Amino acid sequence: MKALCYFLRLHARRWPWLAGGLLLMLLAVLAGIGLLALSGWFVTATGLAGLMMAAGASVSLDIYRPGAGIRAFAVGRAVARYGERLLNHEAVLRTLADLRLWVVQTLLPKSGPELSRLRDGELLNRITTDVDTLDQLFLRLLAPTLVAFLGLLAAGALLAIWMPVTGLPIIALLLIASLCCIAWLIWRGQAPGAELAAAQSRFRQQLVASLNAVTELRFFDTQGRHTAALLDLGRRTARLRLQLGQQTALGDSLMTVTSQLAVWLTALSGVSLYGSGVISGPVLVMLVLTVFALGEILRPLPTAWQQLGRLQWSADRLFGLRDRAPPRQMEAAPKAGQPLLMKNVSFRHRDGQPWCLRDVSLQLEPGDRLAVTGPSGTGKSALLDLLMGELTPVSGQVLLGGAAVKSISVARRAENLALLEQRTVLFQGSIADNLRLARPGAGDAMLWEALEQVELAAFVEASQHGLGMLLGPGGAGLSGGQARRLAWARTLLTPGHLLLLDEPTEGLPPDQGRRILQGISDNHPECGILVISHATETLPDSFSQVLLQHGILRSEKETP
Amino acid sequence: MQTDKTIPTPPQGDAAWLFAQIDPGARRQLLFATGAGVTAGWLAIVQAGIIAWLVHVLLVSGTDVAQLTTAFGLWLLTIPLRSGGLAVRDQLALKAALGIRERLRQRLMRQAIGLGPVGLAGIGAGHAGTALLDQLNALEGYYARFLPQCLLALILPLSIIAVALFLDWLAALLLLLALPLIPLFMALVGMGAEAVNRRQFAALERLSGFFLDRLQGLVTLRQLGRGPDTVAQMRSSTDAYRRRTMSVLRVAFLSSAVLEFFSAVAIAMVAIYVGLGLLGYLTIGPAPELTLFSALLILLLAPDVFAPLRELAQHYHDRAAALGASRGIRELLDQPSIEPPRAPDGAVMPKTPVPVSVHDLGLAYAGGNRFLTGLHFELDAGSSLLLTGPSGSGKSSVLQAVMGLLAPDTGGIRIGGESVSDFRPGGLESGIGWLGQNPRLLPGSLRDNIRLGDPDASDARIEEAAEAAGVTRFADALAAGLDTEIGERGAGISGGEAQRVALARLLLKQPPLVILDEPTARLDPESRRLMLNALRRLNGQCTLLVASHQPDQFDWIQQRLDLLDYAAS
Repeated sequence: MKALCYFLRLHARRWPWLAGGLLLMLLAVLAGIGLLALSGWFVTATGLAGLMMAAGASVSLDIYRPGAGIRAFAVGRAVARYGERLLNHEAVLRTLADLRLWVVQTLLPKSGPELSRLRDGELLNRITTDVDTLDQLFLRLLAPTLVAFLGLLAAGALLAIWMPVTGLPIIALLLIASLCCIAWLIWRGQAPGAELAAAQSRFRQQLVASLNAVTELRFFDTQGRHTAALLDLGRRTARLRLQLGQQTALGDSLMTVTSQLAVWLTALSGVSLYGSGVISGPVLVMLVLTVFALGEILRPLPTAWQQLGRLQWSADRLFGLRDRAPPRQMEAAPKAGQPLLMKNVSFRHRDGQPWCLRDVSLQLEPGDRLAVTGPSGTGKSALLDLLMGELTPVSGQVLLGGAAVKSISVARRAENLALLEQRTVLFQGSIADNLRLARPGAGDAMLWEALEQVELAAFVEASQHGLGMLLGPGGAGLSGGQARRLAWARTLLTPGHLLLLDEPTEGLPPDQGRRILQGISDNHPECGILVISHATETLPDSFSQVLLQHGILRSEKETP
Repeated sequence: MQTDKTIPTPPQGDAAWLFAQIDPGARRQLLFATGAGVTAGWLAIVQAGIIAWLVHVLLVSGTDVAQLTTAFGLWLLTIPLRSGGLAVRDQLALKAALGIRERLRQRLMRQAIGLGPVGLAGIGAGHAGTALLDQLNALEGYYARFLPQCLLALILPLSIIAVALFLDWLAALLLLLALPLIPLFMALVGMGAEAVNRRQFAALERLSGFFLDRLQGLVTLRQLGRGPDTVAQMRSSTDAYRRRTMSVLRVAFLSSAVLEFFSAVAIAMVAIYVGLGLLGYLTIGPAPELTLFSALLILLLAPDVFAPLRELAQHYHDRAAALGASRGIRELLDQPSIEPPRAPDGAVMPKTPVPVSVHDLGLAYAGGNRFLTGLHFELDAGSSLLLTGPSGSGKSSVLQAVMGLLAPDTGGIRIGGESVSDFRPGGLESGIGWLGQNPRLLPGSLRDNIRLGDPDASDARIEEAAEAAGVTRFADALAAGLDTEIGERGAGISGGEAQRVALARLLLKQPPLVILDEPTARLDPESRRLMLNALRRLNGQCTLLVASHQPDQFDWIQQRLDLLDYAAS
């Protein structure tokens, strides 16, 4: 609940739009009630007048004002509906943007490894879905509820004028019964709702993994047990969905029964009031039809409130992204051209786990050429994350120009350190957009120079749009090798004078990787370059190699 | 390019396909659901009749207690019946929809697995995943809501007009005048709703894609110092999208506003017509014969003429979503298999090593261009062969042909004397152990992943295989050992470790024929050493077929073939 309230407060910033939409929604509902009630009154009144006139009595009945009222309600409802839909869509799109920005701002301060974990799973997809779910909070849940409540109040006020003794209890009964119905649905729906969400997410995870492992399944799951189990999981989600649907249908019928009983009761008490001469016939019909019209606004509520569980689940997950730790103080400002120093660093991810690094010291100065090699899974990535300040050493220090790397703001760090991550990350947009992420003001000549160094210039030149060539999400449209080289070019454009390259030649033919690395090394004598790689054959001779094994760093000469 | 037998189908084809997926059971459920909906709708007419009659009796004939009691009693009776009908409609329709969806899912899953790695690569595993998950889920609303409502939107307004015709033909005519407009409305609304949906979905999808794209690269953006810029850029791009979407919606919503408006005007006209008729101001047609009962009933029923149509308009996006989704689903279903056919009652691989003979094998790309020709080798039971050659020379394709994943263009392959087509489905696979360069593990524990090699294996045998493949070496350092759960995409263990798990799985299976495709290509030196030692022990235990571009690692395999010698020029 806390999480939902938090996101509701986030919605509150858009209150003018939300309030406008709510008001128009209310107007549409009231016009709908008014249309039916007034028409009922009018028809009954004219019917009675007609009878009396037929009997020879002279009756004066104003047909123009009710007629005009009916037309006004009719047109007013259509207009209010239209306006309401526009305003509410505007509000939803705005809150959607707010939620997305909130997510980005929440995720930005997180450490690299933490974000990588989010990215590796389906988690980011889930965040996107959660955001899309949460934007329904107001429009589908709160607004209809508020409107229904206000509509009930308005109907109650109308009823109170003519049947104060029975009218108010009927409306109160309707209100209480609706609340009970909603409460019952929430209570009953919570467990299967949560179960369904969990089952769906597990099914998705298993299915995606199985499709990726289709060869493995062909040759190892020869009896089809895994596939059968997977399909069973799918059927189980369908069963849960059906169970939930059953409850929705039941809730819907309960709500319908309740509202129709209220109509019945109104008619019953109206008839007795008419019998005792308290109200006239037309008023009786008007009151009955008023309560009749309430059914329309109460009906969507059960389904809407059944979403509460899902909304809560989404809100909780998004809320869980927040960092409870206060923001780090990052004020140190090292001068450019300073060495990166790792002093006696030991590191492991958690207590009790094997050490990734044990008492490792390392120095990278401008002009240095250093390569860290070693088997996979031995802490090479941790070493890089520690150097970038994304991880904190258990003991020891990582210093950039004398200041702890962690205490340097990200922007400052980018001025000193240029990183090429192991995973190639590119963005939707043009080649130039992707490159200028590293250096926003860079001219075309500078971009071409970087592309030239990674042997990508010819390809980009040959493409129809040159630097304006558009890439899809994640850089789609380039081959693995091209994407790798584009990311590499971006790293070269980063102002930093210390290049940290994580498996830079992955996905490239060994000779090309070696050639590019050699070229960069030759063209940037002033830069310090640290390469992390398991492909020693791509390393130019100018690099001094150190081996990272079992968490210990040794220079090649020491190894037997 | 792939030769595709299916011609591009028009949108009507999609609707027809969606309709064809309704099996007899689901059809019965949907018909019952519609029937329940119609019953509930008719009960609403009955209720309106009771109310009108009640008012008529009360105001015109005076209070007759017996009559009133009957009316109130009947009315009370219809209340649970009507809402019960609605509940049955919703529940049955949902059941039918979920049944159709799960049966389709089963078909799609069989198709995806049946296509095999080569066929699936043609369509993309991600694409298949979307079809099996999101696109199938998008069908639910079409079957559960749209289809039943389609019939209801036809039957109920006509029923009401029939009742109205009986009461007062001019009022019925007024409603009927609105009705011919309704196909027009529906076209308008349909087009409008479809346009709204298409554009809104497209805009939202683009926006979601943009959002996901930036989230995925958030580390990179931050390390480049672009964090604050990203926030600003996202704000401006979402604002731009919003403005564009809203300008579309402003026009598109008009179409449903028109329906709304006309139905309101029709109701108002009917109200005023019956009012004036009752007053005796109208002397045309049947107006003078209007009674309070018929007038009130017509008035009460008038909104219900339009309500089912309005509801249908609300479900229109279900249809649009299903039509869009059906294309992706059919694409997967229609993907032709490129594997050789199998014999249903065919052979099964023996448990002992088998000879493999490849005779004049030619392989071609999907488009028909031959890239390998005249390959010939005989591999005795229990012997080993190394296929070498640079990447792109067709090593993997030869292995795939032997594994029955790729139909040869020419020539033949015999495994244990039988051709691939002589084996029954699963009969060949049960005797082959395969290991590629990029092992895929399934979510679950390490033990579960190894057990896949032999579902009936004892824990002791699993541990033995884990030991032999070097899994124990790293698993012992993990808190839960072999029972450690690995996350999505093998998260939690390195590539080298995943390859060892895959090897343990293969060793557990003890297959008579082992096929290895660049098993050490992506490994670090330590994992590579472990892998090669374990593989060397397989020598002589089974027939072994290995592809590698690093032949020096397999110095213990004497028989070698360089595929460059068989390249089709």
